[in-house]
Amino acid sequence: MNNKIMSRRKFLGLSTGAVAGALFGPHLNLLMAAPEGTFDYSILPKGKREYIASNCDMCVNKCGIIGEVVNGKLHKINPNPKNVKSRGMLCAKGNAGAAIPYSPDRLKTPLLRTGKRGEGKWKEISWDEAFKYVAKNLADLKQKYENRSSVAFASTEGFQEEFYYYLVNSFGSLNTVRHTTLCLSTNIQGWSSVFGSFPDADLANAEYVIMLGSDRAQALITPDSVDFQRYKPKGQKLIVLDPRFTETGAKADRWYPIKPRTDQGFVLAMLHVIISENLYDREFVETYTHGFDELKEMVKEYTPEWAEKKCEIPADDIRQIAREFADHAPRSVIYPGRRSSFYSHEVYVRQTFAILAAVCGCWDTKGAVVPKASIPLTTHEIMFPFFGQTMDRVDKDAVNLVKDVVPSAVQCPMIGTGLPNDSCAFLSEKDGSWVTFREAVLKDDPYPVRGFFCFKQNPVQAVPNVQKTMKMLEKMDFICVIEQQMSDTAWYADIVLPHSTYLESWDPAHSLGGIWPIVEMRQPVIKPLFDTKTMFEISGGIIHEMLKIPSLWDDIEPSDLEDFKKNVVEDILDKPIQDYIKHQLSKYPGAYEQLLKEGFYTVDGGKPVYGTTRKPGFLFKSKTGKIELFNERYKEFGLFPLPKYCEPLKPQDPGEYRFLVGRNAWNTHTSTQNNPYLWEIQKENSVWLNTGEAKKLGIADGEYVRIKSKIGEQRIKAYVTEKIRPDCVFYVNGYGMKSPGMSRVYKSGASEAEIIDDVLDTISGGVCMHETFVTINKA
Amino acid sequence: MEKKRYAIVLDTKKCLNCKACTVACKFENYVPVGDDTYRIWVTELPLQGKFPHLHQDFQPSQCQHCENTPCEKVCPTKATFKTPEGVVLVDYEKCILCKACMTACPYDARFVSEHHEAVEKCTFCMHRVSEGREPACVETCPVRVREFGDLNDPNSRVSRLLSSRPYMQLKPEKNTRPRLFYVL
Amino acid sequence: MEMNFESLKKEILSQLPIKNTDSSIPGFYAMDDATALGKNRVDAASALVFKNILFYLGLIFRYPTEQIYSEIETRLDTFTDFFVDYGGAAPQLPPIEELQSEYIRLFVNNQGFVPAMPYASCYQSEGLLMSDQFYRLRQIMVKSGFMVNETVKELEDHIAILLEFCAGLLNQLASGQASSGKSSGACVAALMEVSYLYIEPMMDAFCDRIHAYAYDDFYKIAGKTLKSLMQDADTIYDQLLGFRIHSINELQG
Repeated sequence: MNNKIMSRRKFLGLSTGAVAGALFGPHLNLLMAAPEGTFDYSILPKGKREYIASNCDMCVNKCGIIGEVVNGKLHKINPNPKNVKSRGMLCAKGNAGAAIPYSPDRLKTPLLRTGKRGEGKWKEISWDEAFKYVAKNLADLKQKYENRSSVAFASTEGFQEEFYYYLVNSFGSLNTVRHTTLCLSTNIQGWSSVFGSFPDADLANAEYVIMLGSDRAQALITPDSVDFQRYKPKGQKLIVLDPRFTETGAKADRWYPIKPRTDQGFVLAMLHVIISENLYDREFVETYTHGFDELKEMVKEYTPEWAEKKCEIPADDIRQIAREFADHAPRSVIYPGRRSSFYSHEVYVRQTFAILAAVCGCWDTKGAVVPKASIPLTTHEIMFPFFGQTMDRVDKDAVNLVKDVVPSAVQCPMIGTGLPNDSCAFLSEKDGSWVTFREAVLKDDPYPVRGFFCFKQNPVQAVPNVQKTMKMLEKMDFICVIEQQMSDTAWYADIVLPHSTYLESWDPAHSLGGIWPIVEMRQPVIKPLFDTKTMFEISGGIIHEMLKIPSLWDDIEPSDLEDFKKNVVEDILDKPIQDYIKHQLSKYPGAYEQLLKEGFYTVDGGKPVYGTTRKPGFLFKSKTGKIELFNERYKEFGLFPLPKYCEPLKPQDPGEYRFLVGRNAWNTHTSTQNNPYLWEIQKENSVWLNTGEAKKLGIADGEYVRIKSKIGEQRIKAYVTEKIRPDCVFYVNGYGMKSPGMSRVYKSGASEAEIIDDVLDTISGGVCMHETFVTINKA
Repeated sequence: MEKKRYAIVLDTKKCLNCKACTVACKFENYVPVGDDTYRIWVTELPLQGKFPHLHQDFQPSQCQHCENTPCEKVCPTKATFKTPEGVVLVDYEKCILCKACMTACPYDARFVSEHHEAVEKCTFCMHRVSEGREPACVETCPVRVREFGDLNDPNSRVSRLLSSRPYMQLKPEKNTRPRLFYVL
Repeated sequence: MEMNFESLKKEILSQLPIKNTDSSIPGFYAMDDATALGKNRVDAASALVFKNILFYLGLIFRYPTEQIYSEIETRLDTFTDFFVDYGGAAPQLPPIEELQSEYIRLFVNNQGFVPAMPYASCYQSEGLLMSDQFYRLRQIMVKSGFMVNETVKELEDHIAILLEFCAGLLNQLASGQASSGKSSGACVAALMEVSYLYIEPMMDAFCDRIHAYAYDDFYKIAGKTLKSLMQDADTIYDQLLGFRIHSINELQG
């Protein structure tokens, strides 16, 4: 051994003159961290400590945070006790955000693909090279397809998203697709069909609350998740209807394991009771609503006895709940919730909820459902050029495209045959519909889409039916992903641009609507660790390179180009982002300074806003200007103007279970499971299976099973429990990632994108995540 | 003025089982990621009843800061000690990692910390309290399950809760006289 | 063994990602008996050789831009014996494109995870960047007169920077710079601390993961070489500095 070491060190040249190691004892002691000495309650490392106010970005809620930075490192994220929206709370994810900038897996520098797509061969490039490369590809795509909409832009909500749209609008594509149809588009559509907008619920003042399929104890929403337990008025009653006994169910005064997709029947029967027993708010109905007589006529047939057969809740209970709801009105809430990508025709379910709120006058008053108020910001008055080579959205004529993704059993039962002729007509153009858009791209109908940009969205994991998403990506000539981590989607990109984390960024001001409206922005809590940029800088960089390529501007008026250079590039993108923010806040003196100090801004001391629509002559956003119990536009479009009951899809074979998805309080979708502080709470997911069913199948708790749908198959542990109906199974999303290797959640548990069928709600374009039927077998 | 007597009162009926407190504690106190290293935790108590008549409670727990302190008694080096306010602490310098305290603790509230090279546990975040801040778990909780305060102050939240609501303590048969109170 | 790295040194010094800052910064670790480690005691010639070894390894663990790649390529022959001694084989340099993608795959970004994270922090506490010990490293660097060049957006505990930092410290010792401007004891202490508290603890996992995940032999051999060199570090330091430590515990007192 000794010889070997000597031979290895031969090149060093032998040297003598050894000094005894002991000589170093005293000095080496100096290398130690200062001993803590006597206990002085101070366990924080000595050094510079700073507190910086900003806002969370671990999910959509944007709760107030105060970063505690010690010696330049984020030690902890504390909640901001003053923030009126988050009410001084910070959840597990928000706390675990302190690990986000320090994830070794994060993207660190622009990467350019050098091998085949998905092969994982990359080279590092500079930002300058990256901007040039992207601009050149945009120019090539425009030249080849002579249609700017041949490049599609996907994104998800977030403060920087508005700068992504600077890029979109500077290129001029109309094909944008957002997360909305994966989440709450049916909810927005259904409630808006009645009230013209999507409201919030005043859980801090409601006396009676019905939650259908919302798990506010786990799928956290601020302020609702705070209010429904912390600030609920004494004596408030909470009724929860959910096929699962959720944490919210555990908090309920009464929990009903309702049969899936029969919520509509339950509420229709409530309407039947309330109207037939004259328990509704006659004055409110007469003053504000349109179509009561038609509604009254329609609900006649929906007796509690009829509903009992549908939803498996005793008729007497339905009657009692209806009476109690009316009794407590207007301080009664039929809870809108958030994600509603549940069932086909979900829009009608949500429309029914809204109608219940309307007939009882539970609208825009304390303790009711209340339209969101907002603090208007000053927007930059900019006109993007009008490009000649821009075709209409690829999914414009969606009717023919989506037949494949609407099961025949639910194809427009209200008009007999065929699809509603409007299909995606009610979508916000900008949101698009993921499933419809993907169908259109796959069919090249009416034109090819061959460029794909993706900003902080992970469609490979998030959009049901992953095989179709992969096929769509394969069609692309060019894929650019702007991300924080190497997501499953980024992995298939041609170029990956690393975005700074929310703790390293200046993000523009945003007005968050609600009963307690608030303005927030972000400032860097720490310096960026790596060579990352924000979307503001990335859009600016790409647009500058685009301006160097004349062919990208040959289909606009030269004067438009000059205006664009001046108004968009020089006046906004070339200026510091702080100027942009100050302009947004120019109406409110001192707001910018307050945002720097507190992380949020409110007017009127952050008081709740009620009653803005309860004024004579107020025009609701509807055809009649009234609250429409009978929707005139739906009638025009050949839809059901009243939410007639729609039968749920049924399993095709005995032995099939309906698959439900949801989440827990310590993860957001598919993005947080790899965070060590969240991973340790739950290392893999397991499928909930009713005790009786498990016995029939001979499956023990903790045993691995195969769950199989027509889309795919996953292996997962069984959680045998009384907490779920016998006809359903459930697991939380975000596990069983495709990523190979040692990722914490790679092949731990099961992925939902691998098994969920891409069923579409035709009115909103929303996906229906609970319309997949599965079989369960021992693995 | 009378000296303070610190305590935590928990209203577990509100607990969402969201784990915000446990993650906040880990960051605040440099508690390493790991199944065996935690100062506080939330237990899902057994599901009661049969489908569809079910009931379930969630119970956050931690070091109970016992007035009658089993861990202090067994510590051979006096590393575990009580402050005048009744907070049970560990002097990490004195701890020799003999783990006698871990065995003695009826609440399984102690663990070996690599960071401190000592046995450690909840400190009521005294480093924050001494700065006028609340313990991290109290502050971060969405529904305010925990209240922290001075039992000797009749107007403190903890005193008011205890005077207005019945409460229980964990493992009363151990006669530890915990400073954690669970209101019913 | 005839080895002269002077020309290499000159060329490479110009590309250091770490730069020498104000050398008048007083030593961080005041040494009562600094003279015990005066420049006469340092085997300057060997120290320079070892410095160059570490420097070259540092280059290898940097992203192979064209410039770095060509530097590695040009000097590879010079270090062949060294690689054979410590890594058991002479590494063959693959084409640049292969090496770049291999580097990114192993050390920068991969799908879902990075197999061999090149940061010392990742092998401490939670496996995250900028561990509690990180700030200490930054302090040592500054006090030793080094800081990361502003144009380099990389963390101080990246293995390439750590190796280069050690090379820089050895250079100070060998050139006598340390004993004139500041305490050479401080310099040695910094070298020991970086070697034993930052580099050595990551060696097993880092090099083993390279071995497990590398497609190409180049980084496998480089990893193996680095690992066995660090295993040999105490005897090397003994020879260079007339001083050896036997364990991290000793260093921690």
